Amino acid sequence: MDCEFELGDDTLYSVKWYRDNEEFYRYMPKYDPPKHAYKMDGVKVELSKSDERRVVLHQVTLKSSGLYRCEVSAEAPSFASAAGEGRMDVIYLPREAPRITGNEQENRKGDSLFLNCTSSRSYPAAVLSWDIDGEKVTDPNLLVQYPPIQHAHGLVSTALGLLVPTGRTMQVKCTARVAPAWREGSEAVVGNSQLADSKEAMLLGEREA
Amino acid sequence: MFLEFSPLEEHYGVDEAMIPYFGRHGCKQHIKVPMTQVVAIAGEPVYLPCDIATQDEDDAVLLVLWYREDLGTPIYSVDAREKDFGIAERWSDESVFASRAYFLPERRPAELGVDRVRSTDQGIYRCRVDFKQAQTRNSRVNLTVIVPPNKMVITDDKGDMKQAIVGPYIEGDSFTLKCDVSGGRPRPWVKWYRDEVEMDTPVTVLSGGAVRGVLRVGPLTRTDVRAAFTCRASNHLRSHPIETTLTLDMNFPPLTVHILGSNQPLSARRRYDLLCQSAGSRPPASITWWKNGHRINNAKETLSTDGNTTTSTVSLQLTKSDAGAKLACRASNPQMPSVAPLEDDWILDIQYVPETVVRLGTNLDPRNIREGTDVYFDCIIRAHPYVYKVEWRHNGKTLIHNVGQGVIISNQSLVLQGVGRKTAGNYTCVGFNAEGDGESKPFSLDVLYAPTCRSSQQRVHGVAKQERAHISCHVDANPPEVSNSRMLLQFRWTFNNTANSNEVSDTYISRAGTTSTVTYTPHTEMDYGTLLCWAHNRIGKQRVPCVYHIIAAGRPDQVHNCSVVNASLTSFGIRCSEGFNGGMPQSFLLEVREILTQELVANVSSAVPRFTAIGLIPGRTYAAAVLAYNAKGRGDPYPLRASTLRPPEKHHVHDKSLDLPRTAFQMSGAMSAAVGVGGVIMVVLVLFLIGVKQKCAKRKPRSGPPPSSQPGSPDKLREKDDSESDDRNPDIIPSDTDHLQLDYYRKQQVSTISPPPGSRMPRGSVAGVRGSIPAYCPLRTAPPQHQTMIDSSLSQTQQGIPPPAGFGSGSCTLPRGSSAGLTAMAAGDRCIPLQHLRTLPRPMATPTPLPRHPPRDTPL
Repeated sequence: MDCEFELGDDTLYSVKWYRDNEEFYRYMPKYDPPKHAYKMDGVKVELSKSDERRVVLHQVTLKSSGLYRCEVSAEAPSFASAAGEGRMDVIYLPREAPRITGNEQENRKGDSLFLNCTSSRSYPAAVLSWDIDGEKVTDPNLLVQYPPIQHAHGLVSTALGLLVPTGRTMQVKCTARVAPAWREGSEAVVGNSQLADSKEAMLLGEREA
Repeated sequence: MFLEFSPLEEHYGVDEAMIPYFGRHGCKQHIKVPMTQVVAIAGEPVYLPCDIATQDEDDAVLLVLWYREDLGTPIYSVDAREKDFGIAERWSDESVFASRAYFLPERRPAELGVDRVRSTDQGIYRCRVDFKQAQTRNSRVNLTVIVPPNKMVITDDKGDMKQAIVGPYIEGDSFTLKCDVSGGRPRPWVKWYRDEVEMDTPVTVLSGGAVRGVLRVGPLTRTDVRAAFTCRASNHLRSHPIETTLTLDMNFPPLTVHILGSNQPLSARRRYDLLCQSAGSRPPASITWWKNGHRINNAKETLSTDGNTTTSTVSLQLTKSDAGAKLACRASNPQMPSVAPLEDDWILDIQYVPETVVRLGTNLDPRNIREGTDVYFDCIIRAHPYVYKVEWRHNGKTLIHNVGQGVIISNQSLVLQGVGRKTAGNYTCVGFNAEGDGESKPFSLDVLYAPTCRSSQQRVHGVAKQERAHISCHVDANPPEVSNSRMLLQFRWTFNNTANSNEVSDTYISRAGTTSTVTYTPHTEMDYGTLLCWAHNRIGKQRVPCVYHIIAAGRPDQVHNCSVVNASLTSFGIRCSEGFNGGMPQSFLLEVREILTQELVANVSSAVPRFTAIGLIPGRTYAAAVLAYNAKGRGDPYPLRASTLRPPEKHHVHDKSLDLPRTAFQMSGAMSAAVGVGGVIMVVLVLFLIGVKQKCAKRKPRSGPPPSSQPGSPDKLREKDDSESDDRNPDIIPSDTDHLQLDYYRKQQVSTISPPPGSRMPRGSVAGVRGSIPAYCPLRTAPPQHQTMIDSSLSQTQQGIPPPAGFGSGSCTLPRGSSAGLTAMAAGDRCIPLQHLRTLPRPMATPTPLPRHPPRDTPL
């Protein structure tokens, strides 16, 4: 992360980096060494790559998310200060496509078919939706909601049920989306009595401080 | 510059901003910068906390920076990078706290003190602490500066500003008070209190930002007066509220008015201080007094100490005419003229001393009440309370009901039966009640009567021949003669002697009032006799005349009953009874002589026979002689011995020696009186009178005076005579002086016949003449040679003392008459020659010899 500043005629006293108001790195040119990092959960400063205007974190985890802020102060007597901040979030995309499960025989015998769609683990949780013959199912009478399933390290999986009308062969598709503003989820296409896998992609949306 | 990197306030001020975008589902929370809330009152100091404590011992504070969030540059700093913290460099922004700020590192937590905090100091401050080792520590302080409200204005319904007093209102009024409070941050609350009890106070915010608290009061009652209404405004518990207290002023009409002690009867005699009290008025009542609607002005008001009660005092002297009058006391509040005054009334009951009037009976003419008439009076009475007694008074003396004396009193009437002249006078009636005694004005009862002779007038006139005498006749009469009308009192005079009775001509009569005077000059023996005087007025004629005896005038008689009184060492007094004055005014003379040498040691004259001789030698006996004298000469001396008191050791009695010669003298005196009458005429007269009445001759000419010359006999009537000489030094009196004294008295004797002692008429001698008229025995006298008939010489001789009549000197003797003889004369017997009265004014050159018979040719 870069912190850009102009001192004008002042000399630099300190550049301090905070995550969520807790200092994790500082650069003070009068001190030896001028760079100093504090250990924090999820924040591992790569001192060799960091200097007065940049801090480099490595091995970011979900715990690395937070409000990052740099504060630049001039030397005495004014100690004039300025600060800038930005948010950094770390996400975990599903490793697998959503999986569709159902009962064929029940579908033949009765007049409807019941299918379940379950997402793979992710952070934040994936949002599931059903399409029938390319049209998104919005009738809440056909959809069955389930509570999310918590997994280790804060990962979550979700599930969504679908009642499929009988009488003809339909193409059903379950789509999982994570952080919809920044990424497209992959879809799994289910043919008549057949299930097809779908692929996924991951994007990281970032806003610069 | 750093300005474009200014911090985003939202992230500091709003905690929600700290939550990460996925915060609701995330696994971690942002750590907030801790914020402390600090409230300060403008003007007071404030302390902003900042924890600078280190975690490890070898750590240290390098720098403390204070930021105000709207400013990028610190406003205060403590730079300890190169110094110990205690002496670290401190810097304060001149445009913010300047010298008002000072860091207090020793406190836990450390604080930034700011003095006299200002409203502009309000804001969020951040303290950043740089440590040598530890992570930088940021903390925040939210400073709120309370600015108290600065102005309070209270207005009433009329919009008038009120500061201490509201009102005055009256009972039943309602009003509102608006308390407008301006200034203050945050917006102050405004509350009304009544006597420190909070009242319901609707509050509105005015367009100018002021806060208005409204108080509604009323309807008012009397108990609301002096209620204290306080408007109080504040915006923080720690700041002193501003407040204004108004006291409710009210006006009350008076509640009560009472005349104290009213409806009691009052006495007209007395002055009363009447009190009227009124209570309940505010401001204090003003009290007025009225009598029958007329204001009484002399009242005085006093006020009780609590101001609630007004007392008015009026001093009144009421009269009878005030009875039934309405006395009113009115109390009013001068500030409430429209309220009718409160009034207390008193119908006056006046008691007074009875008023009485004496009224003569209606059928009686008060100007024509004669002796013997029956008279009656009524007493007209006005009194409250009514009289319990009525009394009648005559000339101030209470009359008693006495039918026998013709005084009849019944109820309020007085009847006088058969009034006489003594009944006349002032009559009053007196009514008595509890207020006192009311005596009427006197009614003067005039009782008319015919003239009567007045008593106590000179009945005997000694007149010498050719002497002009003025004989006055005094009568009592009602009406008295006062005018020249036909109702004149008229007098008639007659002269009677043994021979006849003649009317006296008017030319000799003069009259003044009830006195008529005759000018009378006897020329002959026949001119001595009796003058009778009658008067009449419109009531009638005098029934009994006044009788005046004209006798020949002469020396006075000897005094008698002499006694020595009040003897002292150097003085003694002598008192005598006077004898007949010889028909003229007489005076008296005391001579005191040494017995042995006959030297005169005292010579005192006096108008009455009372003397005191002083300047005498103690223990000595003197020869004293008292004699009377008048214009005709001296009477016979009355000799007696008188002694001064002896000094105690030498005192011895002389009484015996004094008594003896006196007895001898008196005998001698009697004898000489018997034989001393000389002259042919005298003898003839005596014989003549003896012939007429034996009683005259039988009568003892004199009764001896009782010897009362004991020295030291008490007598309160002591008289001194200034003319007596006190420089005499009498010689020592010889032990035996009896013979000489006897001689002396003998020399002094004259042949005078004394009238009866006291000149009183003997009992049972009244015969036709009323009153005490002296009577005389037959007389004879010859006028002394030196006597003249001229008035001037008469007055001269009255002044001087005539020479003593010597024994056988031929001096005259006075006529003497006994009561029997007088009675005889008054009865009409002629025993004195008739005078030719017409010739009286003519002076006679020589005395006319007394004719033996009355002349027959009297032209009367």
